[in-house]
Amino acid sequence: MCLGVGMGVETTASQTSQVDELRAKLGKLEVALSAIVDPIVWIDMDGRVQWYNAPFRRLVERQDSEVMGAKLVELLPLAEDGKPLTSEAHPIQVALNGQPNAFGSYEFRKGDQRVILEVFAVRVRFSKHEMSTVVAVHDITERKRAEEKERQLANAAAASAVAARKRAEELGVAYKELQSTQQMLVQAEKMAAVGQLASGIAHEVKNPLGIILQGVNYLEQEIRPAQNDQQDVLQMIKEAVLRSDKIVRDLLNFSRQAPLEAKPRDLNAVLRTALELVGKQLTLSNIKVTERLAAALPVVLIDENQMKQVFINVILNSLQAMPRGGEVILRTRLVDVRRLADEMAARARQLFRPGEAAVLCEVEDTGTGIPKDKLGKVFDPFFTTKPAGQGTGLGLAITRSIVEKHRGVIAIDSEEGRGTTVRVALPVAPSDPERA
Amino acid sequence: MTKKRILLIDDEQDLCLVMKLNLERTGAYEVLTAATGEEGLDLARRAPIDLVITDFKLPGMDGESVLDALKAIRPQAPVLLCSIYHDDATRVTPALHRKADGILVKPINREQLTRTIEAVLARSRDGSGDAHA
Repeated sequence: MCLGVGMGVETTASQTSQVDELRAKLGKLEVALSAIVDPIVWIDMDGRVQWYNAPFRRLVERQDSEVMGAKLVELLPLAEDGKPLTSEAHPIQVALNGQPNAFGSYEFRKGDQRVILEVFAVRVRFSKHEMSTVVAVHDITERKRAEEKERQLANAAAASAVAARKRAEELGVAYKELQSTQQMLVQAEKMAAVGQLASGIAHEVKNPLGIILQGVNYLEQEIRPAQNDQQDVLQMIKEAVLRSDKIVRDLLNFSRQAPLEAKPRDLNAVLRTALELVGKQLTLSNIKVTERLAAALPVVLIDENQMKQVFINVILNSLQAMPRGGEVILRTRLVDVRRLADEMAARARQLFRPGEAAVLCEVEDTGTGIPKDKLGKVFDPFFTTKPAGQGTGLGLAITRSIVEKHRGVIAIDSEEGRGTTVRVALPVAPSDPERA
Repeated sequence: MTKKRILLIDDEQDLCLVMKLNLERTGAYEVLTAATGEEGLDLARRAPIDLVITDFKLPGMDGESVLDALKAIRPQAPVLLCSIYHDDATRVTPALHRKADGILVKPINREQLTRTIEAVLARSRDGSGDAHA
């Protein structure tokens, strides 16, 4: 393309020289404009291309013959947020319609590429009657991409901050649940401790109280009714005995273990409920749970709440034995009592009727295990391997007491550094529960 | 009227002594005491007994075994069992409580003791039945 200067009249030598000078200047101007890296194009008042530089042709990817005289809005169809601009909104059309400057960032499709352009359209007046519009385009795709990436990173950072906050909240909730479960267990253990204590106290205190009471009864008859003071004193002693007896009775009532409310239940379902209650704590402690529960197990006669407590106790012991996470494997299956492991067999033979089947539940962990010399003591009341204040040592004692109340057997097997397995065997409910 | 012979079995010897004083003071009873089940059974074998009062918790032979053995030696003699549970003693050892002719809840006062003894002896004369204090 070239900047032509049309001269349709006769010229003098001086005019010819001026024209040559002008041509030389125009040539230099064209070279200078073409040297600009950004695409530049100018259009007439109809919006048709009158001049453009090489970068512009490269931008629109057209032949020279297709560019010169073509409508610029068609050569450079722009879009905003993925939607093509209407001709009224097109910055070139805006400039043509009389706006001195039109400026903005727009999208332009170049093959299958999306290019972001900054477009400047400036109206210029060449003469009194000749107006034109110069359009300069700057490719800001890379900058926009960088900005987009920055925004995405900022969003991701914000999202992860939100996630972290949510996680912290979840942890807070789980921690509270854990605290409450722990408190519940500590409370249950304390109750059991009080129960044992109360039972012991009741036996020890009730006999002396009986002696005092019978003694007072005897003296009441031996002292003549006229001796009022003595009768009063005896009456006071009698009342004190009755008051002491009431305290012992209240203590016994308060602490005595609830009687069994046994109903035919699916042990798998009870195990799953127990697991649900401690599930969050297991997840947070990075403990994987594997269920290998036998399908269609016969029902067992159990007090659902107490048996749930058994499994919660055992699973929480596993959890505490795996401070760096691990795995808990839960298994259930129907077993022939005669085929139980040695440690259980002897006790099972005492408790189960000949030929009676049992549902066996195993809770296996990959925890620290229990040293051989301590294994025999784990079911003893007040025996604990936990730091002072963290366990009363009654958890497994209560667990065993509940299992045994169900005519069941509990056994523990452990290897230091490898893990522990707790087994609970419960007799299958007779087909007629009334006979149980 | 001949005195009824009562056998008291309790390892708390002072309790046996003071109960004996109260029962014998009525003039209706003669009381033998034993500190263990074995000792009580020995007494029951040697002399006729009209009624036995035994503790549930005894050193050596437990209450249930004593009860079974007494029923074998003196099937006619009612046995009262002493327990520390006041509300629903049958919940603790139902089978044992079914075998006993009555329950006495510790601490036992004189009125409660004589009333229960009289009721059980009357029933044992008439036929059968339980007495619970």
